[in-house]
Amino acid sequence: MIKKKTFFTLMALLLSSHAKAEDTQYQMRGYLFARLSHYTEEAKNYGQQTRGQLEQTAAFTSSFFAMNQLRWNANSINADLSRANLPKKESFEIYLGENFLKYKSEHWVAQLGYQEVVWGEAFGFNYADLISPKDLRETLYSDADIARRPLLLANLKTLFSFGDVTGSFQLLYSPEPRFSKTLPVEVYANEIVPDITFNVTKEKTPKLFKESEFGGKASLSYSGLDLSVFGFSYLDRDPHYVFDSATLTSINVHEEHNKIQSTGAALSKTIGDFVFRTDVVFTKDKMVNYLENNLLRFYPTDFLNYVVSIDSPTYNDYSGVLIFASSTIKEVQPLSFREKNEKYIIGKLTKNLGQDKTFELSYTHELEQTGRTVQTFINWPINNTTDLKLGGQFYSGDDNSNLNKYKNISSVFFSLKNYFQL
Amino acid sequence: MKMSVRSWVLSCLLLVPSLSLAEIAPNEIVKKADLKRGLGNVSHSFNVSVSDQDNKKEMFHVYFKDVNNTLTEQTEPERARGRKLLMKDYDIWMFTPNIKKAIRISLEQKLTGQVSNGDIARTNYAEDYDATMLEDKKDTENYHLDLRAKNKKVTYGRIEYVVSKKEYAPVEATFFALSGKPLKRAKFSDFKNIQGMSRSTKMVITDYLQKDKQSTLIFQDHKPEKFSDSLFNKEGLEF
Repeated sequence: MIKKKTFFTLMALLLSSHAKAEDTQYQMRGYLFARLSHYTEEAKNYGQQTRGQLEQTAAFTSSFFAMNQLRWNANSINADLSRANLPKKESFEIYLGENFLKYKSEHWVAQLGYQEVVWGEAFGFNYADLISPKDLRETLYSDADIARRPLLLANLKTLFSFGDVTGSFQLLYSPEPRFSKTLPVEVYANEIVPDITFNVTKEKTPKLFKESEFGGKASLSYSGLDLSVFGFSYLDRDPHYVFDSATLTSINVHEEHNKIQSTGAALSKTIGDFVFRTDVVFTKDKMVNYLENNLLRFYPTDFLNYVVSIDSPTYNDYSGVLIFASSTIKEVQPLSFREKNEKYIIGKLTKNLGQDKTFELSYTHELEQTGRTVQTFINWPINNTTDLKLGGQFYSGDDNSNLNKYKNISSVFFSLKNYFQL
Repeated sequence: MKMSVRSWVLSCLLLVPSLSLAEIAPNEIVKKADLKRGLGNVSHSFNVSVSDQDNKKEMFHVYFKDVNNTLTEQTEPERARGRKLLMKDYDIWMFTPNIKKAIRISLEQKLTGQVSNGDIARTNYAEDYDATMLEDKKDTENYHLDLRAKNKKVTYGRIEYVVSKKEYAPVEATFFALSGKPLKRAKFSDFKNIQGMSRSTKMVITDYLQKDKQSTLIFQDHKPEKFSDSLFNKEGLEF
């Protein structure tokens, strides 16, 4: 953390020292976001959330740039994903967003620092979005940039073109793996061991250069087709839990994150006015927890995840997306924390109301263990800098379905997001 | 000698109508009119402002390498700053800073208000459409042209295009969907001397059915400029 603070300070000094140079283009901008929710399930109470981001960018020359972000997040909620009727919980978090230096030449780009890298072509389930850790407490419907967290990376990309074919090779190296912020373990375990409290000791982020992650991606585009293949060797962003001790009412566990490898491919293709997209990701030996003779155990198994989708063109200001997502594990133990197959269908309809106003309605259906969720909202830009959003999200289903686990955050909400430039 | 002069004059008189019809082919008229709406197929950049009937304004910077390579970057309003739209031949990708990856979209997907992606960045009709003369129009000052899409990948199925005979300046265009349904009408005006030629800097687009829905495009700051190929590479949009 000290190293990160040092890095941030150096970046801020670098940016501010160049801010007045005549040939440097400097910008400071950001946003403020506030959301008020009324939870409609058992909790039937209110929660509020505020977020902010301050970003400074400097272009020292046409090739050399720097970016520096500071983010904060304050929550006051009465419901979370795992349990209803919790006492009011307040939290405040301030953290560094993307902080990197970028050098861009005619045929290659290098970025060094904390950054967010996104792979994949599809939406809905971002299985190929392997690199950046996520805040999994954000729901299915949160904006991707809110859930994503930056990772310290050396990121080198070469760009090429041969006739009508364009593409790139990308290499990534991280000397400081980071983990996702996970949901409470009770979300997965309480169905198997109800009324048991889990006391979890988090695994700390490895020290700089103690562990390393690396990977690469090759991409090409040709005549209506985008194709990429990729691989990444990394510490599992999600933990598995290792038993320490237990009482009659609680289990003490600690987190571990194993080194795993993921490989995959992503494709998008224009078919008339439709766009077809797919991501396929294979992950070897990812750990899954299960209970055996009342003991918490784990085992390695292979994951095959894929998502396919089709975007419709716009007809009379309406457009639609149909998505199918599947996640399968090779082996499943009895009383496992995850099912062998998880499959979802998502239908999304968007109506352009003009002047950037949109109405959106989406329905997600969980196929194997029947679960359902509906989200609807109106996004209403009230001026050039402020967006108003009014909507609701509702989760339901069988007790063993994944979507039903989210039911306590079923809510109607109202939010404002204001963008500014200083 | 007298006879031969009379024959010559008669011949000339007979030839005049056929010469005037043959003096310029419809596709050539469209090419000349394209040059009155931009710098043509030369590498350059320009800015476009789009404002609607409520005076809501959006600004774009366009990098135009050639007719098959254009990159549009939104600069205003603040909430949309950094959105990019890359058009390469008939492929189109969009990049938004929050999604952080370039996504393929179809050419017809709207960018803003009544304005399509193609209205901002793909303005060379001669490249995308085959022109024929609409003969039944009794207009002595303007050519009336029927532009038919060369393939189904372009923004519109058909355009009825009015171009002045005097300077080959674009006057008006009516755009039709591939189904034949009329979509919108554009008027070209505010001709200014840009890079040694008089060119239109204003395009007012009105919805064909809802006449109160209107977008005004102002084209400005045209500047010849060279760009590297990597600027028009989908994989470079995130940078």
